[in-house]
Amino acid sequence: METQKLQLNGVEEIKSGNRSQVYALLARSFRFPSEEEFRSVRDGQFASAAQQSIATLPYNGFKGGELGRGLAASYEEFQSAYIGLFEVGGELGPPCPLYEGECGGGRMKVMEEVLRFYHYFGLRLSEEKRDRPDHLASELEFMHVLTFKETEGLLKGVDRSAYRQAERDFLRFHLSDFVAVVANKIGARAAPFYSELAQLANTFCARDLAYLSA
Amino acid sequence: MAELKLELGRLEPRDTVLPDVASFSRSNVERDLWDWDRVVKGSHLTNCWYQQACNYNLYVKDGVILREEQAANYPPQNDPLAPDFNPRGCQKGSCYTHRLYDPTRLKFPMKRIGKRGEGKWKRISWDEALTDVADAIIDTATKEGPEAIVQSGGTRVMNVGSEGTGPTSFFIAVGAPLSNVTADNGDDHQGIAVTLGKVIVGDSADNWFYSDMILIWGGNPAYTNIPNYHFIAEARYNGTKVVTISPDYSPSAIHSDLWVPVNVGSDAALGLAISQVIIKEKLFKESFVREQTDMPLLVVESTGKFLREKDLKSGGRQDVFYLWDSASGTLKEAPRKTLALNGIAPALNGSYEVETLQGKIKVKPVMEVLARHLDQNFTPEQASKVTGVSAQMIEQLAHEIAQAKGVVNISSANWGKHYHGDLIERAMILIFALCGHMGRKGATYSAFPMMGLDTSIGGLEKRGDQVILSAAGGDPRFAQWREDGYTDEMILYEYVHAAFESGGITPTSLMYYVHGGILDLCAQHPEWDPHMKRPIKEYFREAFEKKWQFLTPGEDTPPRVMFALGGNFLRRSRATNLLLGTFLPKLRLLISIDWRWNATAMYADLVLPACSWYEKTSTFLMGMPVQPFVHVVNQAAAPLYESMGEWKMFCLLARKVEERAKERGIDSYKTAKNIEHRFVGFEDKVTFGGLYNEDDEEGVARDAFLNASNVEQMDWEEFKERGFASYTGVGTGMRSLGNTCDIVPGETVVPLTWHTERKDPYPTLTRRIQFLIDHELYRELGEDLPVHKEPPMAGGQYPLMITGGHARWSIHSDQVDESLMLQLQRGVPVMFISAKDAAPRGIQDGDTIEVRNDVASFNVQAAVTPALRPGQVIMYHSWENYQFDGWRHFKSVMASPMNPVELAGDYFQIRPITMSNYPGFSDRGTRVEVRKA
Repeated sequence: METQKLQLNGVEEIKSGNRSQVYALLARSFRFPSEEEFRSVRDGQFASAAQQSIATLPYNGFKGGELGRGLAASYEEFQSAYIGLFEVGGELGPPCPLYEGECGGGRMKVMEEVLRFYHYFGLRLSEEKRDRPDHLASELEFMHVLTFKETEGLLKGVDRSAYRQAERDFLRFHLSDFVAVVANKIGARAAPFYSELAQLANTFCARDLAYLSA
Repeated sequence: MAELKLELGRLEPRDTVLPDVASFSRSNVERDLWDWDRVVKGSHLTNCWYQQACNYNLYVKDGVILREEQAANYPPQNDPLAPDFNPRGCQKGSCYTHRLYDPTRLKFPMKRIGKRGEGKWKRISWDEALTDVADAIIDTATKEGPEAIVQSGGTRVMNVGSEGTGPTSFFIAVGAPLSNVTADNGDDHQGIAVTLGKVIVGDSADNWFYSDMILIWGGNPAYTNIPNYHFIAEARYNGTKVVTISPDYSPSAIHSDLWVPVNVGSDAALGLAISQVIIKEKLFKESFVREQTDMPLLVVESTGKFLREKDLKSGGRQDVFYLWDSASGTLKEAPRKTLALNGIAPALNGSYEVETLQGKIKVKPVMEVLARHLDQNFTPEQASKVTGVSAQMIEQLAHEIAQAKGVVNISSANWGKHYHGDLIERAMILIFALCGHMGRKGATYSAFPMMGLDTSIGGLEKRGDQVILSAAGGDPRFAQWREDGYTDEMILYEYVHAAFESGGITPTSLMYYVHGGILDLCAQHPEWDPHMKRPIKEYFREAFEKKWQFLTPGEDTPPRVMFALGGNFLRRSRATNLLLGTFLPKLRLLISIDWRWNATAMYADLVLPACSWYEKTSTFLMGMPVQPFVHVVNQAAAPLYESMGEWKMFCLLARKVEERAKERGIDSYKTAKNIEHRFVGFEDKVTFGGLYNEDDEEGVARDAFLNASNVEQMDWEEFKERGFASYTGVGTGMRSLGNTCDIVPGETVVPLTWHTERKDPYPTLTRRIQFLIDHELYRELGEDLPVHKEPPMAGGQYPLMITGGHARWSIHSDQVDESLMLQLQRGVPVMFISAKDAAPRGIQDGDTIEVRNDVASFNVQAAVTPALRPGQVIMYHSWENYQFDGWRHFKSVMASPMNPVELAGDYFQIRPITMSNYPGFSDRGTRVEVRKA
């Protein structure tokens, strides 16, 4: 599939598009970090990009923070921290697994419902990445897709209610509570970058849900 | 103007474009919950042993396996009144979908960047990982020799499924020893091995239905045989009496008609006292005893050894034995090529005078000697003091067992975990042999149940008949063997003995004893076993000097590269923390290959992610007669993350080894025996000349099934669709020939009928079920006849004895930290302790207690129960190291002293062989004390 792009002109379009942009940014940053992404975090480019998108949303009042800017760690240490937080652990697995099914609701039930959300909107899991459907990065990416399609509808002037309904339901029944648990778990460990990132994701999702429910 | 780009990384459109969706309601999602793309058959490539395996339907949607359910499509029995095998399955298998998506899955190749066990890792590419491993192999093979490249031992991959072909083929190509892990697990049946000359003997679960008595002795099927347990319940409706002999009021005892509580480790005394009653009251089955056992063979009174041809004739043989024919009143040579007595009526008692090269001597039948031995040492009254079982109960058991038409046993792999487990097994099988409860429908003794595909795959797996044919064509010993009455079974065993002697197969238990420091630990505590006449290291040296035992790599060559696959040795091995300090530092590279972060992976240098059991195509090479079906495992979904099947992994590793050797300009290396191995063509050796490429794991499975000689014939696709096929014979393969019986689908599997009906000789020195072992070491230790010995004070002078058993909630450690399973129990490791032991120590249920002895200590939660015998504590199997405070594993206290009798060799059936006849680990009866932590 060719990469789809939307040209956003009006304020409403930009606000709508930035919601999608923030979801994309968060989705990317909860994946395993590449060296390039690590440098982007350490050098502050990531924080700047986040702040830029946050600045123009349908709702205001929160900031992205430093988000790892000036982080004193090597790439090896950075990825080791990611692995230690999210991928490897002792009893009962990693301390903060990034899977919704590990945060309540029953693993298989959550996975299946999330999978069927994706399916309904014409999506499936990447055959290349081969991860569980309920990974935080995947769920954020799904919200990015829904908000992208909503923005596309806005541009085309067509009914967007299906996407807004799905966004609201997906946040309400899945992502919002999930990301709150993740933020809580990571926050308790005071993990550099990821504590702030999870807090940002939590605040954003909560605000977005409030916005959609208004 | 701003631009918004659609960024897809983890999701992708199902079609070429994303659709525009006009309406949505959450009910759209919920309505589809019972919709799936396909249903495939699958099973679980784990070593769940007696209960292995079960046919499952796997439901798949968009590449995700949503759930599984029991397929329950096994055929009806030929006997319409007999229960069938449906549905098969247990709670572990029924939540494997849940398990394979567990966050503890190994996702990517990982390299340790901190200290071992520190938990600091970095993700690396497969190419980088394979390069690291290949270089370590090349370095080690060229510097220390391929013998220093070892496997930790495991059964899950290496033996269970066809995907184990890759690693096995790889290690053979390297020239590294293959591992035999049986006695390391404590699954060995040394007592059966010396008595029957083999350990692979097992019946089918439906056979229990036809017995008069099911004797659960050394097993706990309510926990460990869940898919087959219904046969026990159904047998009771058929009039079968279920008797459980165990120290504790076990989960299986609860469902029995009679529970016989016995002191820990005193079972041999109980068995011998039962035998004493049976012999004294002449309740034994004379025809069986005369024909099938060594009871009528003559023993020289002055030496206690068998009368042999060499005693009678100059140049006479060591392995020709004699009977006293009551009919003619003369000495007769015992038939060697058949068990049939051909008119001889051998005496079972009395004393006779025979002319030997040394003059006239007195001889007696083994039965006469044995009866006196039992009368002197093992009357019910004497045994009662040892066992805690009343003399009256011992007599009752003897009467009921002897008078039953048929008795079967359920003993699982318990006795190998006792220091004197061999004596217990010899005592138990003595009862069955005396009563003729062997080789008949509803009357069987089962030891090590195993029945495998007798198949050929590429150049690796050879059918037993092919081995025999090859031997006939190329082995100069073959004609002599046949002339001497060797059965196929005996000839195949000769080749396995040879593999141990050559170092091609090596016992992992000996590796840990020697290279892990456990032998040194035993040597420091000679006081633990008061029956030992000499220091353990003297026995050990003698065994190696006389070539009774073999170890690769030897004492002077420490292992340098270890592959931990198919097992979890740092969870499994006894004296765990000793190994961490002694064994691990010797390793240049420890590679863990698994689908989950187990304890061994946590300590590894490099971890390679294997895919789960539902993500590859395989068929079971190792099966069980308990359920006589071979199962298929279809790949239901693509492997998660970057995991891959073991076949592919080892094909790629072989290619990398060849590539790296070429890049580094290294052509070859030599084994310790100066055999040159060349790196050129290494990949071809693993892939059987390219017969199966790295993506053809299914081809390996397919050919394993289609080339098998002992399963019902069907098309591969039909097999995949149906999920299983019935065994039609034991074949002539090492993995099942020991059962020595015909198999008819729909009928019970009754082992040993080739001996009891066809009169084939047993693969023992005497060609009979042998109770007198006149090996010099057995005689020195006073174990030439079955005896009882008190368990050693392993761990020190402490009052409590640990026992254990496989857990209800996990197959080994595969599900030990599975959240669903943990919710069904306390969720943390527990030690069961008698209320009578807990009270004086101030311990209450739920308290954390410290368990300690002279070797180590650990903390665990106390589960106080009246069901335990005072003096006994139970730790069920498989808790992982990281589930204990400070990762102090419960097996750290298990010193596992080496039993010198297990060092014996060079005695026909007592030579190292796959699964037996070498020193193994014990843990039952380990001495500890506990206190509130």
